Amino acid sequence: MRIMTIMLLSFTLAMSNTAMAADKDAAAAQSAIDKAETSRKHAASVGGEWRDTGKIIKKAKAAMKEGQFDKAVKLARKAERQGSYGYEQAISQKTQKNLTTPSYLSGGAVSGSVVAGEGYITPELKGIDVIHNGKTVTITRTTDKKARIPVAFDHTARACPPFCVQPITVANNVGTIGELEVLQLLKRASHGDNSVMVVDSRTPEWVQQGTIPGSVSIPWNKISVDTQGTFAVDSETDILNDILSKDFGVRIADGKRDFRNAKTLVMFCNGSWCPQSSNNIKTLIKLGYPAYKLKWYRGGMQSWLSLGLTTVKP
Amino acid sequence: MMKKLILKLILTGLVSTAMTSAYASPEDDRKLLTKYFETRFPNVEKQEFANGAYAYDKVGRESWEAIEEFPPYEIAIDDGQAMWEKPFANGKTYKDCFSGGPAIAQLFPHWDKKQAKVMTLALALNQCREANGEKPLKYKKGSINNILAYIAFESRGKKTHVVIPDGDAGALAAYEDGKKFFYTRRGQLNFSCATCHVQNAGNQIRSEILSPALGQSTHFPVYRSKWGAVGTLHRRFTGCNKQVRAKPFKAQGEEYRNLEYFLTYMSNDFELNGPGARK
Repeated sequence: MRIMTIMLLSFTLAMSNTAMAADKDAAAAQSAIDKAETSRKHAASVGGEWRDTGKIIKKAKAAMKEGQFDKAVKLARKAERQGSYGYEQAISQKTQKNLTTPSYLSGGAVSGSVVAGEGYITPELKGIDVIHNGKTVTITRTTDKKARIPVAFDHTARACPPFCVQPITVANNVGTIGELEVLQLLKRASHGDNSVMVVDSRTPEWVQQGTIPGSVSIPWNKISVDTQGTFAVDSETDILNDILSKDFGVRIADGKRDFRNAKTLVMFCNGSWCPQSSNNIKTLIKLGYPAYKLKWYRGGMQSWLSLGLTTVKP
Repeated sequence: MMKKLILKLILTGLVSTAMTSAYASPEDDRKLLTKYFETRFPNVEKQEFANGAYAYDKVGRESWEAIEEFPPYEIAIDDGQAMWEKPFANGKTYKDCFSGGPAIAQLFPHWDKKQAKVMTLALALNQCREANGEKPLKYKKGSINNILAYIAFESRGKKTHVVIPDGDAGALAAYEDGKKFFYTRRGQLNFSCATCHVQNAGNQIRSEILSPALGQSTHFPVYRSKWGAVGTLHRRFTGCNKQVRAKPFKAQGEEYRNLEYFLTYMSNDFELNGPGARK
């Protein structure tokens, strides 16, 4: 009799465990769907809803009804992402300067009257405004005929290691970019697009001498990890996690890193002979940072300065 | 009248010179867009842009001309004429709302000061119906296209003449709103109207050649072979938005009406040639 009771009891317990797990899954799915719906409405409120977001939410609801909770969560998250992309797209369009006068319009129309000359970056581009430490800075090219490359960058002999010549590709799927692309991304970052960040990987002494306006200083040695991929000291891990979560938009929960909302980073250091930004990129990939969200400005400060582009002291 | 017009032109000229960098008037916008297309397609005669991609797509033009010999929208015109002439239940007709009808397409869209909104022909037709106790027609498909086709046909040869009334801030705001809509990238593919119909007009998107924004409003409603029916301008807007994977807006809602106001203004001085036939 007693054995029977115990058996019955454990059976009931097992049953309720399964039931509880199912409840938990259902709640997770419902919460994901709710989040997706909020995200969709958020996008719609600024006229930025995408075509399929609503349909994906419908599919998620259908999957939930059939008890396919994992599928429902996956679909709902997709819809949530679409909602946030649509919202950001609409906002970035609303805040875009010259929205209704794109360069192709006047470029094609007033041919001959484009007065490219001194101080121009491209025939159509004289400068862009970016925000550096809360202040607007215009990046343009110097018109000073006597301007020379600063002394810190004017010599060519450098010891390797550490100052070895870098390859054109630093890692798979990481785009190597030049000044015009950096300018485009700086413009986005300065016009309210929080999904992009241009990172100066050099140490503070270097940044003090001048950096790219609109860039954020995150010294390379704060992101480096040792060969085991761990830090000897906990406080260093804390600093790294802080940078990842506060600066790069990585979500950290229960010791796990979620890179889905991580920013697109443009990393640079002193030049094509400088290993710091490339090392940071490799480290970030090791940590799970999506490679397609990493861009490498290989030319760095050396290239920036030799083109006479504006720099700023922090 | 003429003197007044010249004076106005001079004044707008002065104003626009003084303010070029700060503010572009609708007329500046239209001139800039016209210049853009003239520069881009130096061998296309201006009125030809009203024929859409057939202004520069030679192969497409051949089949289009063949289609126009027995126009697929003819039935719609006939049915539309019957609608125009058939009295409402209260004995009145469309003519009682539109005394100058049926050749009235050139009067739309216009700024309706009283209702403080852009009045399109489709909206005006439905307001007329409702004022006479009739049910409004649907704005994308169906019989609204018949009456629109008839009015368009009767208005052929008239010139597009959209006016932004002087000093009316509401009208200008609606125009500016439509202009912003036109240049705003949207949808998963991140395209604006202008991406295709200005920047890439004449280029191919998959198998199709993109039509120019200039002269784009003159041929509606349009029989599209893809639809197998005549459809409204706002149905076409809906299709464009869907193709860039954006959620379309409501037909005859504020967004599309303001877009129509801007887009039609860009085609000022173009002859109306609706209903049209397209792929």
